[in-house]
Amino acid sequence: MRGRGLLLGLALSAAAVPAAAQLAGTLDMGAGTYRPDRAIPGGIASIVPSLSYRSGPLELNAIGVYSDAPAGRWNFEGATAAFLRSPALGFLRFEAAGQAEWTSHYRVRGTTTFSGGVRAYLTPGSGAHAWVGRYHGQASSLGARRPLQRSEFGGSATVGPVHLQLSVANTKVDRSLLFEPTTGREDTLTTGPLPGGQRRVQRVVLTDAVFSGSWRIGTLDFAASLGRRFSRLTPETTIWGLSAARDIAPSLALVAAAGRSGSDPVTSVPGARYFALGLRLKVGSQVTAPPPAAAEGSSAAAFRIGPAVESGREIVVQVTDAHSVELAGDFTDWRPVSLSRWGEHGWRTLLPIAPGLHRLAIRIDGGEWQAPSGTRPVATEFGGEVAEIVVE
Amino acid sequence: MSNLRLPFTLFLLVAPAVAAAQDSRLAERLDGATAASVQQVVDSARRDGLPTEPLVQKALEGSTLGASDERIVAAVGALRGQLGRAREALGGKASEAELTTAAGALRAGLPPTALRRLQSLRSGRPLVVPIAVLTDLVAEGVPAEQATQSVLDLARDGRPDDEFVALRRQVQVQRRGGAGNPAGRPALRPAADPPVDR
Repeated sequence: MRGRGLLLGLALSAAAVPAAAQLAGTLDMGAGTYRPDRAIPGGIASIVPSLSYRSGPLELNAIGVYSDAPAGRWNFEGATAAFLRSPALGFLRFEAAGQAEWTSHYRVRGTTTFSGGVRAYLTPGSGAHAWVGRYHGQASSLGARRPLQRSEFGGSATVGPVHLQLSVANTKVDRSLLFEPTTGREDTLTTGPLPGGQRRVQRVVLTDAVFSGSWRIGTLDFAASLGRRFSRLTPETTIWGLSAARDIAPSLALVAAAGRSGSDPVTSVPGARYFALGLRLKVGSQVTAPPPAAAEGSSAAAFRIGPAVESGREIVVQVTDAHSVELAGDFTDWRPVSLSRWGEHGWRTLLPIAPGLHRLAIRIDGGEWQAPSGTRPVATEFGGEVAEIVVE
Repeated sequence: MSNLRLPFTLFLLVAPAVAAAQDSRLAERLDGATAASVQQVVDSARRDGLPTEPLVQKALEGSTLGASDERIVAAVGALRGQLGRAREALGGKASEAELTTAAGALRAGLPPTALRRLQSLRSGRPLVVPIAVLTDLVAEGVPAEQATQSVLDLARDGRPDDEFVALRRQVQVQRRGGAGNPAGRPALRPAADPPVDR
């Protein structure tokens, strides 16, 4: 179980995380129903651990999904990805990515996929991104290795409280086909050639277009996706997913998910319909993706204050071209607190802040105190502006 | 003589306590005369049963922002007046947090009647979040009358604090585009069955 080994390794490495790095993880545990294509439906229990590590331009993600169905049928899917991001070059930024995915199954051989590539991001500002990427790799399934090519483009934007994303991915994979004299069979588990049959390599091209969004209503976090697979050689499929999570304690949330996952033509893993309900245990600093990098030279600064956790609330300020960022507010007795670097242009600290109305200001490179961008500035009796925020 | 001994003894006992009650943060961050002036306002507020921490914070804010001594003392005095008016609006049973938030609402231009109406509709439930949201809406540019009506409607229906915050978000979405939701987390999804012969 290479996947489990990697997850364990990442978990153990938490002790060696530098102070400026971010490590966060979740553990989802739940049960529900599962209706795979061309297999036996039924109840199923799942455990989904995930870890995310971020330090400077480096980001590592790992996720595992272990499911146990009646009659001893268990399946495991693991995925890990590493990203290395370049500094922003004007509106442009590059990212090198490597990804490994694998599956293990009860009594059946698993699958593996390795791929690597480059993405170019265009960040015009206002939290909007566009990207184009190209990946190459290899997949192994059913005793066959197949070269893999993937091209993609997409865009994302934040519209009010909703984060939207559209991605289009074009995948090309070579499949080995064994044709009988009269009917064609693809990727059969039979190893020997059929009498009179003919083996031929066929290139499958398919395009997945997926529109997704995430948003928050009250204390509920929602995520939804809807996509369509277009292909001449595989069935066209509509795939969708909907999940919701509600915090019931600082480190515990109730989660529910339902959807229809598509089959993976690269590894031949089938698609399925599913519904699951469970609990999410959150560990580490619950830090999500860093705020979008603003264009170089922009003085825009995004501000975010997170939910209360044991060590306080996370405050993140996005400032470009800064050497130091300080924060002061009524929750620090207006004593300046130095923020630590976080991500490319991010600055972060953890402070205890009670719910209610608070005033604060930031100072960049020892300059004037000011209200951070993304907050509501109010004029002070002392000249200048500070921010007034409502902490929930 | 014995009649004078008791008050004198009490004075000896109370005087150090009064001195200890002086906020050391003021002495550390302000010059002596300014600290003394601010402390007078703080003591006056304490005698009237008003919260004192916002006054100290106002002085510290002025100090950090580099304000002149006169401006600091004036700002602290003005805030003391707002706290007094907030208590007139909400009554003596209002909590310190409620008075502080209500003072901000009055500073933003909301009328005391709006606070009183909100208090009566909430019937004993905490007022901090509704008042803070109301203040935020007005500062966001929503006309005071319209913002007050929206918040009172929620209070009349007995809605929880979450829904007041949701209203604020909704207005931010409409007016300037609020902060985005963080990236989605992995959904609870079963692992797929083994590869199939296709």
